[in-house]
Amino acid sequence: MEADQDPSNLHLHDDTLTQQIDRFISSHDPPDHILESVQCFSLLFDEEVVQYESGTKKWTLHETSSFLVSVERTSKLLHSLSRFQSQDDYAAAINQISGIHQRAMSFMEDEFKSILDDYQTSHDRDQKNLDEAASSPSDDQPQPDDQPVDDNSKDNFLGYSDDMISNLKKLAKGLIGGGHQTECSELYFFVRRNAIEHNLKLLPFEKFSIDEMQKMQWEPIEKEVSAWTKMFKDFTTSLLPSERRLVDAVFSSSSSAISDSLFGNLARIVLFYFLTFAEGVMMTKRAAEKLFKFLDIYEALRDSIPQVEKYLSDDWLLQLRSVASLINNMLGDAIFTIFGELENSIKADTGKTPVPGGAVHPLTRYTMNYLKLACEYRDTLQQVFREHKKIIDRADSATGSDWDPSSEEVTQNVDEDHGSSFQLQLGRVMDLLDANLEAKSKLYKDPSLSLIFLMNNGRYILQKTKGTGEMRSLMGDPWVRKRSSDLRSYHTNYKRETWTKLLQCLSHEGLSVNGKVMKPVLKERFKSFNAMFDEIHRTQSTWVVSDEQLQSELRVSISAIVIPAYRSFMGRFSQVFTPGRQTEKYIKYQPEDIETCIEELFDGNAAQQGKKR
Amino acid sequence: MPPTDNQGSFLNRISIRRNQVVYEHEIEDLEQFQKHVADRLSELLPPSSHADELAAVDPPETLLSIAWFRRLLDAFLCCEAEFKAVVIMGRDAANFAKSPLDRLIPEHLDRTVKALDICNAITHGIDLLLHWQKLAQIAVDSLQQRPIGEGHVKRARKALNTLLSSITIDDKENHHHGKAAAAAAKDHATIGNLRSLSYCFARSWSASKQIQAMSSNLVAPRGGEPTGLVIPVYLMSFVLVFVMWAMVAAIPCQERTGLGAHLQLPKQFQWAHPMIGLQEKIGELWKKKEKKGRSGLLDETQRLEKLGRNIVEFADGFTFPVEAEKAAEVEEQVAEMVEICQKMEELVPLQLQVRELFHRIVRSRAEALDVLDQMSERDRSLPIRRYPSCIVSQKCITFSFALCKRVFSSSYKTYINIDIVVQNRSCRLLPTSTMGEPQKVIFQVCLHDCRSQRKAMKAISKVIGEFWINSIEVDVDGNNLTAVGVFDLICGHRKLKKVCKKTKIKSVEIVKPEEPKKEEPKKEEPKKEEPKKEEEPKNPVWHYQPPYNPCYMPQPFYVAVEETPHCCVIF
Repeated sequence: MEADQDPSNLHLHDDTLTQQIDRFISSHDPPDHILESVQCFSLLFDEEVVQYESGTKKWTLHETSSFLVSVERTSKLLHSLSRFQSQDDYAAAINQISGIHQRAMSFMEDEFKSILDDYQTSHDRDQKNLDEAASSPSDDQPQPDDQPVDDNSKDNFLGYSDDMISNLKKLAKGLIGGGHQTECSELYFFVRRNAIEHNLKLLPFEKFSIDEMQKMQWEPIEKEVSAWTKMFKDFTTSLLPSERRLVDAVFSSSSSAISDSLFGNLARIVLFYFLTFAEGVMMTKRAAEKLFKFLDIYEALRDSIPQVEKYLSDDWLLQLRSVASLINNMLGDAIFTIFGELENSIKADTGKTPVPGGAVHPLTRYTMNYLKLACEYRDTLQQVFREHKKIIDRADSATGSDWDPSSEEVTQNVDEDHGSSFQLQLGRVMDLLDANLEAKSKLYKDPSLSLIFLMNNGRYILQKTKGTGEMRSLMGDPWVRKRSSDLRSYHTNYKRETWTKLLQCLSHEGLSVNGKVMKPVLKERFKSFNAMFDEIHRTQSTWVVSDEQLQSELRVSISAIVIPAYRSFMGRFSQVFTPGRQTEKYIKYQPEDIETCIEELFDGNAAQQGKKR
Repeated sequence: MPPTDNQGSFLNRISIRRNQVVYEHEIEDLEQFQKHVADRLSELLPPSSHADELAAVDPPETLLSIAWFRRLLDAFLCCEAEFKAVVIMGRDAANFAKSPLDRLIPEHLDRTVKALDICNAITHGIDLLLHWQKLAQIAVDSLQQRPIGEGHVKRARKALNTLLSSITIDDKENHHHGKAAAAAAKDHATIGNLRSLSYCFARSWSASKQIQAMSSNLVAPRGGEPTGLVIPVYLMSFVLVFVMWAMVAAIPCQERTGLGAHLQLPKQFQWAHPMIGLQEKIGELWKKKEKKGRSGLLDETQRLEKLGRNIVEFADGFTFPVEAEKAAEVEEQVAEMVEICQKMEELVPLQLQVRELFHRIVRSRAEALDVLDQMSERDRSLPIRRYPSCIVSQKCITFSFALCKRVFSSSYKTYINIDIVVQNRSCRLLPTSTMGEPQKVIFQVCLHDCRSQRKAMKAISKVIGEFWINSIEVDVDGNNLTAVGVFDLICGHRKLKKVCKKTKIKSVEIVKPEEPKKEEPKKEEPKKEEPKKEEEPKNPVWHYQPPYNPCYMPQPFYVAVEETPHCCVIF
C-alpha cells in the first residue's frame, strides 16, 4: 500500500465514495473523477481483503455482509468499466479491479470450502452424542445446535450449525453473484461427495466388484445383503433428504437448477454405489436359498426409490427410474425363476430310500419351511408374479397378431376370481409335493406304515399351513377342509389295515357251539391275538409320529376300538380257562397292559423296551 | 439359399428335429456376422488406411476422441445384438453342449462379467472427465473476458492448475490416493480435490489386471472345428475385450500399468485386421504415454492437458497489458479449448451409453444363461419351468406363422420344449429385442430409382410383414431404408440383398414405445395395449417397463432420415 495519501482518511463504506461508484454503475456516462474513486475504492477493498487473508480480521457473521456488499459492488463495477475498455486508463482500472475481485473471490472460495469441510468434526460429534445418548458431558463447549439436532431431525443439516449454514448461504450467493458459480458448485460437490464417501467408508459394508461376487460363496454375500438392505434404507430415508435440505439451504438464494443438479449428482453417486451391489448380487448364480435375500433387495428398492424420487428433479428422475426399473425387472425375473425352481427341486427329489419309521420326510420339512418363509413375503411375491405375468403377456401380445384381446381380460378376470398367479403357483407346489409324497409312500412295504407316513407328512403340511396366517388364507378353507378329510381317511384306513385283523380274534362268533364254549378254538384265538398284538407292538413302537396331538389321537382311537373289545372278550371268556397255569398261559395281557402297550406305539425309540418286556 | 423354396407347404417349413445341423443359411449368417463386425470396426479406423465410400458420408472421428468412442460403442452394441441373434437366440441348447462351446460360452460369459466391472469403472472415469471439463470451462470463461485483466488470468490459472494436478494425480498410482489427495490439498490453488475413484472398488482392483484376466485365456480356436459357432463366440469375446481395452486406455481408470501388453489379437482371421490396426495405433500412443506418465489417452484429455500447460505458462508470465502477439496466441488456445469443451459435452451421452452397454451385457448374459439352463434342465429330463409344452399339430401348422410367432417370441420367457425350425427362417426370433420391443433398423442401400425402391420395400414388407412392422421408409437419396417394427433383422437383410446387392445393416436401435420424447410415435400399438397402459402408471416406477434404458437416447447417429414428401410410408 504505497500511496495512501488520499484514502487514508476514507472508509471503505464511506457514503460519498460508494455513492459515487454506485452512481457510475447505474448511469451510462463516465462521470469525472470516477477513476480516482475507483482507485480509492480498490485500494481500500484490497486492504480489507489482505486483512481477511492474513487473518488479522476474522470472518464473522456480521462483517460478512459488508464484505459481500463490497464484493458485489466490485463485480458490478467491473461490468460497468468494461464498457470503456478501449480507453487505456479504464483498461488499467479493469485490470486492477479484476485482480482484487479475483482475490476476494478466491478468499471466499477458501472460506466456503473451510466451512463446508468443517462438517466432519461437528458431524462426528453428533454421532458421538447420539451414541452415548448424551450421557457424557465431556464436550463442555456450549452447543446450542446439538439439542435440536437430537430432538428434531428436521433441523439437522448434517452437522452444520445454523450459523454455518447462513454463512455458507451468503458465501454461495456472493460467489455466484460474482460469476464464480462453477467454482462454487464444484467445491460444494466435492466436499459433500467426499463427506458421503467418508460415510460410506465407515459403513460395515465391504465393496465387492461384480466379478468378485461371482466367485464368492453365498454366505458372506448373504451377510452383506442384510447390511446392505439396512444401510440402503438409511441412506435413502435419512441421508439423502438431509443432503437435499442442505443443498437447498445453501443455494436457496440462487436458481433451483444449481441445487437440483448438485443434489442429483450426489444422489447418483450414492445410488450407484448401492445399486451396483444389488446388480452384482442379482447376477450371481440363482439358487433356492437366495430367494429371500433377493426379495429383501426387491423390497428395499421398491420402498426406498420413491423416497429418493421426491427429491429429484425431472431429468434425474428419469435416469433413476430407468435404472431402478431395470434392476427391478431383472430381480423380479430372478425371483420368479427361483421360485419356479422349487417345483423342479421337488420333482427332482426321487430318492428310493424311505424315511425310517414313516416320519416326516426332509423334503416336506424343507418345502414347507421354504413356503412358510415365502409367505411372509407374500405381498411382494404377489407383486413380482403380477409383474412377471405382464411381461409375458406383453411379449405375447407384441408379436402375436392374432392374439385375442379378450383373452387378456379373461385371464385378468381369472386372476381376480381364482387368486393371483402366486397363489396358483403355491397350489401347484403343494400338489407336486403331494404327488411326490404319494410316490414316496409306495416305497414302504407295509401298507400301514405308508399310511402313517402319509399321515405324518399330511399333518405336518396342514399344521404348517395353519400356523402361517398368510399361507392359510392363500390356500383357502376348501383346501384345509380337504386336507383334514384326507388325513381322516388315512387314519381310518390305517385302523382298518392294522387293527381289523386283530379285532377278528376277539370276535365272539364261532366260539360257542350250542351255547358251549369251544376251548381249543378259544385257546387258538388267545394265542393268535397275543402273537399279533406282540408283533404290532414290536413294529409299530418303532414307527414315528412326532406330532404329539396326532400321536395321542392315534393312541386314543386305537384304544377305543381295541380295549373295549378285549375287555368284553376277556370278561366273557376268561372264566372258561382253569385259573392258574392255563389262565396265565393264554391271557398274557390284562386290558391295562394293552393300554400301556398302545401308549408305547409310535414312539420311534421304544423298540428295545418292547422286546425286553 | 435358393429364392423359390419358400412357397412350399408349411409342413416343409416346420420340421421337428432332435439333432442340430448347421444349415447352409446359418453358415451364411455366421459368415455375415463376422464380416459385419469387421466392417463396423474398419469404419473406425483413421481414414488413411481405409477409404470406404462411407467415409464420405461420415468422416471418421479422431482416434480415441469422445465421438470416436461413441461410435465404437455403437458398433459394439450392433455387433452384440447380431451376435445374440445369430449365435445365441432361438438356438437349441444342445448346440452349446459340445466340446469346444461348452467351455467357450461360459468363458465368454465370465468375460462379460469382468467387462461389467470395467464399465462401472469407466462410468466413474467419465465423472472425473466431466470435472475436468468444468475446470476447463472456468478457464475459458475467464479468459474470454476483455480486456484480460490480472484477475481473469489468475482465475484461469487456478482452475487450470487444479485441472493439471488432478490429471497428474490421477495418473500416479491411484491406490496411493490418500497421499495424492493430501498432496493436492497442500497445493493452495485447488478447487475441490477429487478422490476420484476411491470408492468405486476395493483398492486392489485393477483395470489392467481385469483386462489381462479377460484376455489371458482367449486362445484362437484351431482350424476345422466341428461347429461354426466357435469362431463367432471367439470373435465376440475379442471384440468385447478390445472395446474394454480401448476404454481403459483412454478414460481415467483405477490402476492400469502395463495395459499395452495385455491384448494379443489373432492375425489369422480376416475380421481381426481392423482391430489389429486400431490396436497398433492405440498401442503406439500408449507407449508414448507410459513414458511421460500422463493420464488417459482420450484425445480431448491430451489436448486439454497440453493447452492447459501453455495457458498456465502464459498466466505465469502475465503482465498487464498483454502484448498483441501473446494475446492472439492465447486467443487461439482458448478457442481450441472452447472446441474441446464443446466436444466434452458428449461425455454425458457417452456415460449413458456405457450404462446402456452395461445393461445390455447383463441382459444378454441372462438370456444366454437361460439358453444354457434349458440344456441342463433337459439333461435332467424334467419338464421345463411351468410352461406347457406346445404340441405341434396339424392345426398348429395351419395357423402357421401366427403360432410360430407366438412360439418363438415367447421362447425367451417361456421354455417350450420343442424345436421348431422354420426353414425359411422368417420366424427366427427377434434378434435384438427379446421381448418384442420394436426396433428401428437402418439399412444402407443403393436404390436410386422409384422402381427399385418399391421393390425393396415390397421385399422387406413381405418378410417382415409377418411380424409387427410399423413403418418402412426410404429416404430421398435412396441411400437408407428405415424399417421400424418387431422383426427379424437378419432375414430382412437377406431379402433386401436380393434387390440391392450392397445392402448393409447400418444401425439397430430399439424404439421406445412410451417415451415422451420419442421420435416415432407408435400409433400402431395394438389397441388392447392402450387401455392397459393407462392403468399402469398408478405406481410409476414399479410397473413393468421393457428392459431397456430409456435415458439412453440412441442418437440417430449415422444418418437422420429426412421427413420429405418423397419418402413412402407404409403403415
